[in-house]
Amino acid sequence: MAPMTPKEQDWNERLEREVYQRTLALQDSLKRLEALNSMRAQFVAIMSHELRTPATALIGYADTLKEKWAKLPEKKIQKYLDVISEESSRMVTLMQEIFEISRILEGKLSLQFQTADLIPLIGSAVKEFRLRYADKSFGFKETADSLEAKVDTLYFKSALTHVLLNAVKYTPDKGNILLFVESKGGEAVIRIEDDGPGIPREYREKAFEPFFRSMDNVNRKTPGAGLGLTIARGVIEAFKGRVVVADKLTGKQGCAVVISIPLAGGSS
Amino acid sequence: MKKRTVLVADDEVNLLNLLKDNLEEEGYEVFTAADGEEALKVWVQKRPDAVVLDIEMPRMNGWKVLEEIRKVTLSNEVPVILILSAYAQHEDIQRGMALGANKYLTKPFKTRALVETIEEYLKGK
Ligand SMILES: Nc1ncnc2c1ncn2[C@@H]1O[C@H](COP(=O)(O)OP(=O)(O)OP(=O)(O)O)[C@@H](O)[C@H]1O
Ligand SMILES: [Mg+2]
Repeated sequence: MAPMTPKEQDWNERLEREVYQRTLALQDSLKRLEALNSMRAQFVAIMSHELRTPATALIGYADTLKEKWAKLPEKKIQKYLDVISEESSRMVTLMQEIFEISRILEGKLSLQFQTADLIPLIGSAVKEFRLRYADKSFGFKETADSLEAKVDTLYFKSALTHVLLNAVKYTPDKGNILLFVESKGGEAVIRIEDDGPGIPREYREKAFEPFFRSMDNVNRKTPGAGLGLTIARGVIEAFKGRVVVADKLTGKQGCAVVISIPLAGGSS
Repeated sequence: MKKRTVLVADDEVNLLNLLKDNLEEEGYEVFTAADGEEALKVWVQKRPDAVVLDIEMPRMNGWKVLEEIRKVTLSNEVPVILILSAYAQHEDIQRGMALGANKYLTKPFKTRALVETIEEYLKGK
């Protein structure tokens, strides 16, 4: 074989480099796919567990009603029916969460982006929560007139709802929930604070992992699958924003969740 | 005849109430516990005739409670029935048997099945 000309040699080297880089890239995406796959397998396992609990209650209460209807006092019947309706809603919520999160994990959220003012969206969420949870008090302080960002308005509200639901859920009766909304460094910054137990520093990032629930007592008494924050972050990141758990402005006990979303048109 | 007693431990309050109602209906006296530590406390105080344990409970899981119970009883003295979750694998079942559980039920199970299991173990006691 004739020796390679300098030009051929150059080509050859470039080709080798290229192949090497591509291989690295492939290995990288393979690793990511593997991680995603094992996450998915784990997801399915935990999901089936989470669904089995309400299913056991539903079957049990329905069977008991069926077998003992004639013997049961009116009050018990009413109570059992209430449980059935409560457990069915729990199942529906869970299925909705599974749907949302599997979309997020696969990067397949189909979003309908539009430029929208976030303030009225937040305002309407707060209004709904005030109606639904009359025992809590909700404060809403905005220091901007409008905060226009490119979001899917339905998903934005869903993300905010998950965070607000946590504030309600983990705050003991009559708690205060405060929302601060401002424009800062080209971003809309939404801060949701409550005066519940808060999240210890070492769990503040973990709290966003799918199915993470801290095992302490307070938490154990509240229902949940550990998906709310995962969904909220997945959605807000799709808007190129961020969600983190932080200290409260006052430094007092409680949870602060901070959502930042880039403003449309780069205005600040 | 003195009422036979059962301890039921589960952190799912709806499930706990359901099992309690059904067992009471069958004539048992039922003690309940919402976590493992409480279950152990009730066990020590009341020494029930039979025990139903959910495996996944806060503070102390069902395995640990079972272990403690078996330090002072034999499986033919006090039956312990375990409630396993969806991912009940072969190992879980073996582990339960090794620790001295009498039977396990996997969610979702029929309430009737649990009641009948207890009846069966306490028959003639
Ligand atoms: N406002 C809060 N105060 C205290 N702890 C919180 C708060 N928000 C979240 N957490 C902690 O973070 C964990 C994860 O929250 P996340 O919303 O993802 O799940 P969940 O509320 O447990 O269940 P789900 O939202 O799926 O119903 C919670 O279980 C809780 O331990
Ligand atoms: Mg939540």
